[in-house]
Amino acid sequence: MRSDLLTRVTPVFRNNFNAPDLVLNETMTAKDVEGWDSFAHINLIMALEDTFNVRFETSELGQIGCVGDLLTLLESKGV
Amino acid sequence: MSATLDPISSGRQAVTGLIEEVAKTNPVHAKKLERFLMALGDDYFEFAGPFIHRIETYLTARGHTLEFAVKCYLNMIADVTMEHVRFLRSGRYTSTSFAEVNERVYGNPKVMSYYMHGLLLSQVLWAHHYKMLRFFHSGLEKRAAGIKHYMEVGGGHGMFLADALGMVKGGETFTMVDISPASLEMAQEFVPHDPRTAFKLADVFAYEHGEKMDFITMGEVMEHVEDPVALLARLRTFLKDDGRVFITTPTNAPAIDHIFLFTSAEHIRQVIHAAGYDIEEELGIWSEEMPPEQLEKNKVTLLYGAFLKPRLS
Repeated sequence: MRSDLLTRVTPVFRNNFNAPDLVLNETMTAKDVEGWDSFAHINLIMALEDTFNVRFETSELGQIGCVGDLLTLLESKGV
Repeated sequence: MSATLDPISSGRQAVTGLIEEVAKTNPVHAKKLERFLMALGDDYFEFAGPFIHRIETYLTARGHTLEFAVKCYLNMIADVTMEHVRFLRSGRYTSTSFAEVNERVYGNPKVMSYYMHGLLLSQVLWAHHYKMLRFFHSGLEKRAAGIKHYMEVGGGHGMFLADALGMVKGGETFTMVDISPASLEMAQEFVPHDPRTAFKLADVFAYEHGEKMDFITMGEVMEHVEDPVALLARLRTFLKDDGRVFITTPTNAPAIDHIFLFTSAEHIRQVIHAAGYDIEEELGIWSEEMPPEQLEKNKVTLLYGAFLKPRLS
């Protein structure tokens, strides 16, 4: 379930960006989340890999424009 | 429209256009570019406008567009992001030998194509690259008098050489030595035609040059070799006793073609001293903004540059 996945991803974002009240939606981009810049993005990628026990490929990292793209990517890995 | 704009506004418009193109695919990276570049002064935009125009002219002559170059740049950024993830997990670069990198990058035309175009855009899009260019300008200006023979090793797109040609008024020869045919071809396009310049396709360890040099520039090469002490020592053989060398190299900068990991500015200084040089002037520029105590802890890239003089024994 897509909405379940959004719920599971939310604490990873909240923890990574130190934003306990962050409410995610699929259309959100880096512009909408304070602190989501390229350096924090690397930590986010690592946190998502560790949390969901997956590994991203280089080509996949270039496809992440918004939160929804991340969910699609995680779904493609069976999460 | 742009013809009516002053150079600063025109440059600002060109940079903004590039950032908007980046944002279409990678808004995370675009956010960083906007934050860093828009904080730079008018001098940056005066530099950026003509430089982007030169890139566009170069691309057009090859049937490409700026949009193509941005796609190449974003491929490179995806590589850098992945390499950084692996680096933070392992504490090492993924390649440790020239043979590995040669197979993975230099000998792979598909990778080389996007990588060269990506690097070209990074010269104008990475604030720390621009700040280092300014340091090079100010340092070379102070040392320009008396320079007759100038050499650049691993000149990439040739921008340092092009600027040196304009600044070293008494220069008689300007030689670029590069191991990469793609780099030399790009440099010959970028460096204005000047009968004093010579472009040599050669491995610097095998290259021989009759005239000793007054000044040698080597930007971001030391991290690409297995033994940077040997490389710096090799440069010494081309240099007059009162000559000077300008080098740049990054710490903690994972990339698909980086081999030698410098862990700190002090590590670079140790290599410089081991190769027989003293440091006259140096600059370190962090690639991220965060409290000082977090920079080293997070292994943030530091771009280090220095003017060196040979230690006379």
